[in-house]
Amino acid sequence: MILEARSAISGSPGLARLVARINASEVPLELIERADIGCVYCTASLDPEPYLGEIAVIAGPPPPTAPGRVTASGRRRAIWVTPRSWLLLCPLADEEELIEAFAGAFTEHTIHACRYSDQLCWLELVGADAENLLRAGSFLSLDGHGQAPGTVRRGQLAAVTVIIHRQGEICWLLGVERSNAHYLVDWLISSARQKLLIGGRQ
Amino acid sequence: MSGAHRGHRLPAGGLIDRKRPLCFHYNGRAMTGFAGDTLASALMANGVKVVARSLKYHRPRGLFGAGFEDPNSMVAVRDSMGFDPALRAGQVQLVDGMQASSVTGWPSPDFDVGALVQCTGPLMRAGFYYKTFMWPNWKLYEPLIRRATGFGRPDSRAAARPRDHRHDSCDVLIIGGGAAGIAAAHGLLGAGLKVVLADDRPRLGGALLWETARIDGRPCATWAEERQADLEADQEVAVLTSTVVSGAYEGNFFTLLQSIRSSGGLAGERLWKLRARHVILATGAIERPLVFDGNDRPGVMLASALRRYIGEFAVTPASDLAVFTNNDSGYRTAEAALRAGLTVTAVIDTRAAGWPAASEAVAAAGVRCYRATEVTGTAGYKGLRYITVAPIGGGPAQRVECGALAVAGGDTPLVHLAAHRGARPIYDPEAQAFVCPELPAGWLAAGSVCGLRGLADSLRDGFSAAQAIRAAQGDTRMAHSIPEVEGPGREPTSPFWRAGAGKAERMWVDLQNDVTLADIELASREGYRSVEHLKRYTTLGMGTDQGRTSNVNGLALMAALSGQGIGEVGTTTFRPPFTAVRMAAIAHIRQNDLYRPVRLMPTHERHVVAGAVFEDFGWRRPDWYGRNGEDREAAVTAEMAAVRKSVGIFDASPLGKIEVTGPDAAAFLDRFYVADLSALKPGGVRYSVMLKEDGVIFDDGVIACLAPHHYLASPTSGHADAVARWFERWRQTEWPELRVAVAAVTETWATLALAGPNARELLMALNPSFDISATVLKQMHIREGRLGGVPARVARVSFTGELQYEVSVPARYGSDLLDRCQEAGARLGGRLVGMEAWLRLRIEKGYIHVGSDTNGRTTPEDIGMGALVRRKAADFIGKRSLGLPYGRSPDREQLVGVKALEGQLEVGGRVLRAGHRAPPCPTDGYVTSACRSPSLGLSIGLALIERGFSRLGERVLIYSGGRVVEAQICPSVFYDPQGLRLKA
Repeated sequence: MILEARSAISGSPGLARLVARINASEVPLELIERADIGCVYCTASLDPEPYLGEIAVIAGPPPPTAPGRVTASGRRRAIWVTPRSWLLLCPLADEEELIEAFAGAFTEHTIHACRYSDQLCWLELVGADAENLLRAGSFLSLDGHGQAPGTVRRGQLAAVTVIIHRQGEICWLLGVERSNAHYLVDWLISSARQKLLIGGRQ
Repeated sequence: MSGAHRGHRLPAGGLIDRKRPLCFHYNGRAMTGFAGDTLASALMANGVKVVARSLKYHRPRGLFGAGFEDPNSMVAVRDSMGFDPALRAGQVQLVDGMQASSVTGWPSPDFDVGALVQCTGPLMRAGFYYKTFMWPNWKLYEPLIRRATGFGRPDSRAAARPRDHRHDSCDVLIIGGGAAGIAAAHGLLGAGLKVVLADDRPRLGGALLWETARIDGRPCATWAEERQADLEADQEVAVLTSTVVSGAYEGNFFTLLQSIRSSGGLAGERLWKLRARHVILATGAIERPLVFDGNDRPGVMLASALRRYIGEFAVTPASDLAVFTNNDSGYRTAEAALRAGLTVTAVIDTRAAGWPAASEAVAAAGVRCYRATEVTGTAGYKGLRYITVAPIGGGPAQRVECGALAVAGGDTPLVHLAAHRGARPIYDPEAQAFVCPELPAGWLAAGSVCGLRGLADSLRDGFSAAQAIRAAQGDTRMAHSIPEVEGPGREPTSPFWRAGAGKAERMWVDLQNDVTLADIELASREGYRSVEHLKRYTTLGMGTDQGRTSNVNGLALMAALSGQGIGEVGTTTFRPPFTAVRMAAIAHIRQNDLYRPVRLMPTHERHVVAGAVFEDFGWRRPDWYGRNGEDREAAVTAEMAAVRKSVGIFDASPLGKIEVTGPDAAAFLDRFYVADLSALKPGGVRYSVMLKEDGVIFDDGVIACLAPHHYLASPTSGHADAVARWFERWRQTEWPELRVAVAAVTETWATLALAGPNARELLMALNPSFDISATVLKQMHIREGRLGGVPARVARVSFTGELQYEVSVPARYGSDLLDRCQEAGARLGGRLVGMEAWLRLRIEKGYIHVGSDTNGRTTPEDIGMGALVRRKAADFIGKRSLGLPYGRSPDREQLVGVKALEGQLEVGGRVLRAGHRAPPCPTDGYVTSACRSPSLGLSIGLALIERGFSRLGERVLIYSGGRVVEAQICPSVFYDPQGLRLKA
């Protein structure tokens, strides 16, 4: 007996699947479930500075040391969460390998990696209006010029905690706890419809 | 009417588009206006004099202001986009097809039956309802009074307009798009700062749109238009027109309400939440009326409003006007009227000297100017016919014919937003107004909000504020020169708070709420000294306009009556919102399932298919499962029976899961939990409670040792997030030396609890990769391995008193795991179990449910864990508090079982003190959990009872739901007290 997997929204594990396309404006807004993204949560039980190189060898990308930073290597990305913790985004199939590698390298769990692919549901929001849609739910940045492409932050969006990674000018990756994923999708779609109905970009 | 024009629409002028006529209806009458009109100006153009009735006396009320300051013109408006039950006519942009109606007066404001109440006026002075409607009971009158008050009726059928929310940050927020605001924004162009300029009107300019001054040689309206174009062309500047800044909060956080308009009406609204580094307050000022006999007559209006009607909308309330003033504004109004071809019959100036040059020009135009004179009365009912004037201090009265009277009593700076942040308005005797000399950090003020300001002053203020902000950035360039102004300068105001002649009960201070000078005098006689009390006793300033035109006059009158200075009286408290904000704009899409975040389990859709009836326990969880037409009680009983006789499948996914790792993980956890965890070996599981510093139980759960230096804490579902934060807080703030890391992974795993005598058989059917036999996977042990081919953790722990396994797999496999369990379980006679059955099962076993069976005082000793506490030598959070006298008191409430000897126990039932048979009486405790136990055939419960442990066997009376039930105190474990079943 082999249990079958289901993703949080579309039910399609391991795939990127369109959840909604909202065509009310000139540039459609697309919401995609990225169930192909796997994730490991890496934590350090002490000052990680001496271990950063070792972590990079296992993880691929070097762990970023400044808030908002993302590093990448191949198909893996490392996202700064706290000074002692990172999210390692990877192909879903790499999750187990990474956990075992960390457990093998750090037997006292000074650096610990735990499963996180199921903790977060990853949603990709693409479109010219994506930023305004997200700004309906929270401050993307307290800097007047907004969240810069290539950066990531963790905060509240529509009253739930979300990892917000601006991958490009109009492409955003959102990581939301699986239990809140349906709510956030409904919120994004409903809010987009309101926004696009009244139009206007300020 | 004058020969220069016909009707109330002036033949030329204004900013309206005369090529675009618009049709609309008002109270069923077809009317026309032009694009650019407000509903108020269009009503004036159509000769409407009475737009409303006052609240108390139902007196006819006309247009008094031209915008949000108008206390009179509340109307209901339906456009093609929706319906609003109460808006000010001056704030409504006219659109084609609009239908407007009055919201006061029956059958109409022109003929209002309610006006008969004026006959009882002398009986209805301030506070009359406090004195009159107390006998026999206020509740008898309340419904009638409520029906008689308020503005408009909501229409639930009306289409909802779309609403949007927007969060943003900026370097500079400029509030107000008048001369000072525009100048400030212009001064910041090219500074590299993100600027937001918000103004409540559809176009920038404020008074520049209708005044006649010239800036840099051009009409001021043209200058404003050009500057708006400059600002809108700049990428760094966001010009938000039709946007009211409704509130100012801590940290320079603001709420703004933007109206999105289309040709069909109000198309939607956007609520902004904006943070700004710098703020320039350029909200300007509004004009105050003057207090005299009959000053509420339709046709009496603010002088600045009249100038706006003439200058911006090319309308006039009458062709012959008079002006009553105590400052230069009155002469500007007279000049504007004369330029428009209207007849100005008189200017009545309260001042004996100090008239401006404009007064000579007005007099030269043939207008009779009265000095040191006041208006002593007005005539007309639904419209002004004439006024009487007399020298101040006495003298013969004269009659002045006029269809409208413009009143100018000085300016009231709009300091409300600064006051929202705690800035204290201080009375400025020179300006005769309250200003805020001390502003919140990061704020600057510019223009009339600062007090006395001419146009040149306002422009200079604006540029200076911009310059100050640039300088703060290290930019000392002055990018723009201050423009040249030809126009009025500073306009000192002569104090004039009330006319000397006339009846106090006909001198209206608050037009909306019918508060007169006589009411304020009465309040003063009755001992009211505080302005806050005056407000509530008389209702001064409590209407929809929040006293914008009435407050300062009221304060000044109060000051005079109480022998205080105006500054000593002070203002009432200004609170957000500055002006009304629709609840729908605040709610946005937060309704129904989006009202608040909903947490769904990874198997949610499977429970839907299984007929779950959901309840919100923080997560949406099945309370019970409807099968074969069973009702709740039958279903819950059957679910409990499945657990006791075969196997029940309970979705425990929300159970907290926190991985605690690192060389000091064991020591770290040991400081939180009452049980000794230092000896916990890999594969072992221990139950414990954790306390707050006061020794009170905060949470309970099991802690598993997965491997050396790798632990899994399982707090309760409801406290999972709080416990993770609690761990993290102590790690970071108190014990940074411990080498430990905390990771909350609750959502990573889907967890099913399999409970009952057939649980092992069911688990076997899931093909575990490890030995689950009773001798290997013992009670309170955990194994990691694979199950159904996927990673899994299986813990043998019990919340039901039966053999039980908690099976966790990565959440993506949860649905399939549940399917497989149901299939295999059905063959064993098992079924799904909901929350209600699960919680009743644990009552039978006497297991506590934190929050239900504990309260804000309960310690481990109270629930029978005293021995565990005493055995632990190491320190833990809360230990010290347990040793304090209160913690060791013999009279504490202790958790025991109770079983009904007759009737049913209910949660919350009070245990009556011995010797009492019915309440009211002292009680010894209460029932914390209760249910009908199918296993025992009894109504049982858990209860916190004083000295409970020493009272086992005692009979007590328990009162709940209006009945008294006899019960017996007993040990809390009702089912399988030897624990043989869970060790099977």
